[in-house]
Amino acid sequence: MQYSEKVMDHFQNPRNVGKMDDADGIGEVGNAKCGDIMKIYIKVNNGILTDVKFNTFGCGSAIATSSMATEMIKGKPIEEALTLTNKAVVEALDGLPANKIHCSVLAEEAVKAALYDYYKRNGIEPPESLKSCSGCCSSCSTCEEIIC
Amino acid sequence: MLIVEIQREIQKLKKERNVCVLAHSYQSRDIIEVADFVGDSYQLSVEAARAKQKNVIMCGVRFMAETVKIISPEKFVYLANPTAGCPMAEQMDRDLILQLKEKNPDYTVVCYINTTAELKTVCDVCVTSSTAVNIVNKIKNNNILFIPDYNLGKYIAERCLNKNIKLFHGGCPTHAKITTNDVEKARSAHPGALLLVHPECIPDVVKSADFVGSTSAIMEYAQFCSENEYIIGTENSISEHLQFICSDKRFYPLSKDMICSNMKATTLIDLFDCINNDGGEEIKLDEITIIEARKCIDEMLRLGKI
Repeated sequence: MQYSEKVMDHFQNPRNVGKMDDADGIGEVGNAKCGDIMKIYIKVNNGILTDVKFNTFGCGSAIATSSMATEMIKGKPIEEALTLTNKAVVEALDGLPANKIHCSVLAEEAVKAALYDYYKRNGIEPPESLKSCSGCCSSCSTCEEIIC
Repeated sequence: MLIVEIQREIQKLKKERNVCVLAHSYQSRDIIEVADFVGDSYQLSVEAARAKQKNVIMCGVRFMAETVKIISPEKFVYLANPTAGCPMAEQMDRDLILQLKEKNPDYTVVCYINTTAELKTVCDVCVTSSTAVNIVNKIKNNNILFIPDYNLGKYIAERCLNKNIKLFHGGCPTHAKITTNDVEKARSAHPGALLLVHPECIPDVVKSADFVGSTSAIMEYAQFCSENEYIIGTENSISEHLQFICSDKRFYPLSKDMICSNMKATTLIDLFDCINNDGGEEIKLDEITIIEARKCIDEMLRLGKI
C-alpha cells in the first residue's frame, strides 16, 4: 500500500493545525473503532471562511485528509464549502489506499459539522445538504457502510 | 452463576490447564482478582516470560498479547477477547513508516510500545511511557521520528531538549479527548485533590497536573504520597482500583468519559471461555516478525542499562 507524495507531505507537514478560541463554528467527529478524533474550527466573516483550523488525532490518512480539507475551504464562501465532498479531498491528495477512504469521509463530515454548528449558533436554518449530518460520524449511515 | 463462582472455576482451570492469566491495569475488578499478574503492557510481558506456565492468556488489547508472544515465542499466547484492539497502536502502518524512513534517512524511528508487532518490525527503538524520556536521551542520534502518540512525543521532546524530535498526530482517543475544561471542572469539584495525569493527555492538561506519569507511576504515587485526595487523569478503572487499594484515601476520575471501550471489551466470561478452549484467539506471529519486532524491544533494554 503506497501513499501518494501529497498524502506524505500533508501527514508530515499538516496545514492549519491548532485550535481556535473564538471560532464561529466547531465540528467534531470521530469513530471509536478507528480511534480517529477530528475537530475542525471555522471563522466566518461576511459569508467567507476567513480562517480554518483543525485538531486531529488519528492515522496518517486522517491527518492528511483533515489538512487538505482545511486548505480546500479556507478563504472560500460558505456556499462553496458546503459542496466539499470526500471524493474531492481524495482526488486533491492524489488518492488514498482503499482501506483509508473512510478518513476522507470523516474530513467531509467534520467540515459539515462545523458549518452546521455555525448555522445553529447564528439561528439560521441549515441548508438541506447539512440536515442529515448530526455532527457525529458514528451515527452516520453513509460512514458506517464504508468505515473500517 | 455468581461472579465469585466463575472466578473459582477460573482459578481451578488455571491450575489444571497450566495457564498464566495476565491482566492490564485497565481491566475490570472481577478479572484483576483472578489474574496472576497485573500491570502495564511491558511489565506483563516480562512476567509472562518468567512464568512457568506454557499457556498465557492476555486480558488486555491485541498489541499487548503480541508483545508477550514476541518476548516469549515458545509460549502459547491467547487474547481473551479477539475484538479488543488499541486504536492508537493501529493508527500507523508498516508502509507509511517505510515511506517516512525513506524521506528521513538520518532519523532514528522510535515507537511507543503501543504499536502492532508488524509496525515494530520497521522501528529502531521501542519505549514505554515510563522509560521514554530516559531511553530517548540515550539514543546517540539526535534526530528522532517518534510514533504514533503526538502527546507523549511532545512530553518527551520537552524533556529531551538536545534532540530534534519529529512528531505525528497520532494518539489515544481516550486520553486525547480530555481538555483543560475537564481539568477546571474537576479541580473546582475537588479543590484539595492532587491531579495525576498520563502523558498521553494533551500538553495543556499535562502542564496543569501535579504529577505526570505512566499508569504504574500514577498508582505508585497515589499509594505512597501522604495526601488524601486525588484526581486521576487516566482510564477510569485506575481510580476504582486505587480506591480498593487505599480505602482511607479518595480518588476521583478527571472525567467520566475516560473510558476505553477496547479495554472494557474483555469480560470475565471471555476469560472463562478462553481458558475453557471455547473462545479467545491464539496469537500467531511468523518467525521473521518475531525476530524483527524483538530488535526494537531489545534496543530499549540495552539503552535502559547504559
